[in-house]
Amino acid sequence: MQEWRDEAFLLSARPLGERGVVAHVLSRSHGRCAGLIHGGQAQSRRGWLQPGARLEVSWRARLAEQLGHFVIEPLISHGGRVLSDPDRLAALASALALLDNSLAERDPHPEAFASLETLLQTLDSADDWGAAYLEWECRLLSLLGYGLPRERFAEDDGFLDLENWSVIAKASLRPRSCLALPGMLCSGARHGGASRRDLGEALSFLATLLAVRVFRPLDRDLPAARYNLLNRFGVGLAEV
Amino acid sequence: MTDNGAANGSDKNPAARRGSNFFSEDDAIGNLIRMLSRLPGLGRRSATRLALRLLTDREGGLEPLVRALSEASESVRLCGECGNLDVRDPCGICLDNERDTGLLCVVEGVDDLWALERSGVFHGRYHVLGGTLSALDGRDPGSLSVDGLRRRARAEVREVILALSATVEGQTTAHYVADLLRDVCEVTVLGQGLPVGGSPNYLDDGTLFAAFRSRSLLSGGAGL
Repeated sequence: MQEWRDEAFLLSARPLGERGVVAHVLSRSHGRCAGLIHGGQAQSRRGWLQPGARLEVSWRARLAEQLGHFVIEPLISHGGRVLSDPDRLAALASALALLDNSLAERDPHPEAFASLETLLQTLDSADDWGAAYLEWECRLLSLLGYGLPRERFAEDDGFLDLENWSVIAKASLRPRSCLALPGMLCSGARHGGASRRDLGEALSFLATLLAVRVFRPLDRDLPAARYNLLNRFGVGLAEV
Repeated sequence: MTDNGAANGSDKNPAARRGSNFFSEDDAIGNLIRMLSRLPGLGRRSATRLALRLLTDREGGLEPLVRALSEASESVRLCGECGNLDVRDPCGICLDNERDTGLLCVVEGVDDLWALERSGVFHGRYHVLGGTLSALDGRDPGSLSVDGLRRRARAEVREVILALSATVEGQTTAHYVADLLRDVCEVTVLGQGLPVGGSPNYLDDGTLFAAFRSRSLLSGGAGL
């Protein structure tokens, strides 16, 4: 019998049959993992099985390659705390969908767990959640092998060349594969006075990097929840 | 035993395998059992019990059921206005002149509409959205009945009440609909918090959070 117990965040849950739920979680030591939750559609459990919930999970299966099933103990319901704020809710759904679609299953990612933990705490409480979300996506890109050379991002000019992943000066000719660096991601940028437009610009920049570098090689589109976050700020993907 | 259980267990048990194949799916009894076991809440054994009950009581069970199913199949249709199921189109609720036409309650499905009607708490009209936005299930705005909602909201509605699930998907949909109708009419959502008969001890912290955020002044003693 294969078995482990760990803390985890619920990334997604979808009904299976009339009572069960197939859940995908991001656990602290075992990475992204799927499992069946018996009785997961029961009224008493629905409140806890919302994406973003922090759970203590016990996973068990006869063989390691099987789906297995979870026994859960609820800890904190992050999703329930942001339901009334459309921007925070969109950011939460986007972060969870990005992790669910980009991380390999059953690969330990303790850094991803720790950074999601920090992000969810910020979404719950702090006003400046936008900067925290951008920081989290930069960390995710770094975790996936596409860390941004942010120490070379100047205050308000320059482009990121997507082909050789380097920063080039504004004065040089802009090749097709370059993206203008958003002010909010530049080193030394102050986030306190950032406008909604600045945040939208940075979200569009990072979404384009995710779409081109992370999801296109996997033959997938950017998750719908990430597009929804862009739509809330009235921006789309940059043309590259 | 459910279908799933039968599938797992009977493969290794010759007696169970013979039992599950006792009726061929081509014969009438086997087909009846198969169709009944597709209904929610019924596994193969419950479906077999039901089939036996119906077949042994033709006059009291099977024939009235066949008539009711046939009548429902012929007469029940979706209301073109609100998406309710009724024998008329527009449905009885849309045709009821005593209802407040300025109030429109948006629900995910017909089951929610029937639950609200059963409670008698709302006397306006409804709009069935047909689900919630869900990336996992491939439901985008195009698969929901939002165009019809916008058209109805523009007509004579002063308030749209969003009675959608208090889930991440339900509230994402609520915010999407609220953005669509922002310039058209007032949009409200149902309150969230402590249910009647509920105790804080048994609630998840998301519900407690919502309950605290929407707390109100207790003014019952003011008139004493």
